[in-house]
Amino acid sequence: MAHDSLKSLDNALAHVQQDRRGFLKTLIIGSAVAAIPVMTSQAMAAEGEEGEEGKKKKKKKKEGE
Amino acid sequence: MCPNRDTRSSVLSCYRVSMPNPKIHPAILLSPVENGYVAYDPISDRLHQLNPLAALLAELADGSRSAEEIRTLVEPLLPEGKAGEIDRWIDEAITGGLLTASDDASPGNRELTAEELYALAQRLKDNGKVQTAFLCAKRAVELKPDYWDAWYDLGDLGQSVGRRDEARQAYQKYFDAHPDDAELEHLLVALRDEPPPPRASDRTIQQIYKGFAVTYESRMREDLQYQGPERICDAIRSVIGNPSNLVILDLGCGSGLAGIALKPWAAYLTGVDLSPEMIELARKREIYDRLEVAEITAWLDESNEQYDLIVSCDVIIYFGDLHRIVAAAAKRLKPGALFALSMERGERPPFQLTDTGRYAHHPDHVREAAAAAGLRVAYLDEAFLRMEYGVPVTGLFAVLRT
Repeated sequence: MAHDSLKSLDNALAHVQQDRRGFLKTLIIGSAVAAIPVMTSQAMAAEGEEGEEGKKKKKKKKEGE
Repeated sequence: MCPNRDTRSSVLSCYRVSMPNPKIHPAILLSPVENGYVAYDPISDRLHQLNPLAALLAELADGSRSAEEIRTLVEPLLPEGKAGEIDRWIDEAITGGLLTASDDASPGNRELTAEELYALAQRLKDNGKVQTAFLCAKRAVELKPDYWDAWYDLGDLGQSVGRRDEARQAYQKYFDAHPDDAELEHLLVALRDEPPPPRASDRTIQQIYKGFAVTYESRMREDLQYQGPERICDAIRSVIGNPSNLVILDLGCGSGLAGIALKPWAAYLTGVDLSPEMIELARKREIYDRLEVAEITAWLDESNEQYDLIVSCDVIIYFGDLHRIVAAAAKRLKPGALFALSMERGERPPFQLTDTGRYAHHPDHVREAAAAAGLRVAYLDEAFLRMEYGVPVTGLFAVLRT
């Protein structure tokens, strides 16, 4: 990230809660692809967009089993 | 009248002059995750994922500054000519319920608790949204380092999303607090790339099926499209056609999925399995003439009976070296009888313990074990076995003959 951009980032982050600043700075500097703000949304009750990829043979574990 | 009405961003900018300061909707539960933020909206039951710049915008939208002021702060971070994306995002966030633009003075949002994140992770996982579920579970254990269920699920999800090291670390964390967990002990051997034991311990197998029995069939048949019984019967048919009146041993019969396919060929059908829970399911089918709870190698060693056909479907996955089990089965075969077994196909001889905790066998190892036990290979081929992590698992099907 260019020096000017870093300055701008620090300027923006100065308005963010202090405990989130470092985290956000690391994220933004590290996310070269995130040139624009993006929000993706998903309904929790809907069928998964990722299909069956998470399914495997094993059972779901519960505490105490 | 607002000038420059011919562009969308200008119109929105004009609108925004009189718009109350945007802020995150008070009902939203927000959480930083490794690639941005997740924001859960309990009103619409929707989960939003924000990339880093969107997360920054969300942080700045605290009700203390206007959309114009937010844009002024963030605009220098965007590529030239992309400032309109900030307005677009704010509009989208308001429409989507993440931000509100009202004079409501209610207190701001709060962060998701570890329990809420874990509950979200489980729901996401159940819906197949494993990437987001992984992020939520990861944050849950960051917030609550002794959240053992979340550690376990993080391991599970880490495997689902291909984060092997993180999966291993999460499972290890759980195991450190639950050293009696035989299943995880076995799985961690694979994930640590340690030399595998010759087979999974009885305790491991019993633990797996104690929890798995209730959902075994729906998970295997519906979710994972398990084809083991059909393919092993195809293999047997290819050797002896459609037999009848056979004395059959279903070795590791489980809930009886293979037994259903074998029943029409059987004069007498015996089932043996290590798991009492699975045997109970098999008993309810009323297709077996005899059922026993026992470790199959020991049972074969102690038995004096002779069979026309011994079938071991989806059982050898818990055995690494095949010599012992094949030799034990060979002793219980009548002259000309068959031992049919299904495996997962391994890429290199003799076998590997895979990251799922199951063994995969190379065809050469099957040939060696058969030869050592004095059996001929009548059939050895591969076919689709089932799905796992969305990927087809190749099975290896063998029919050995005395």
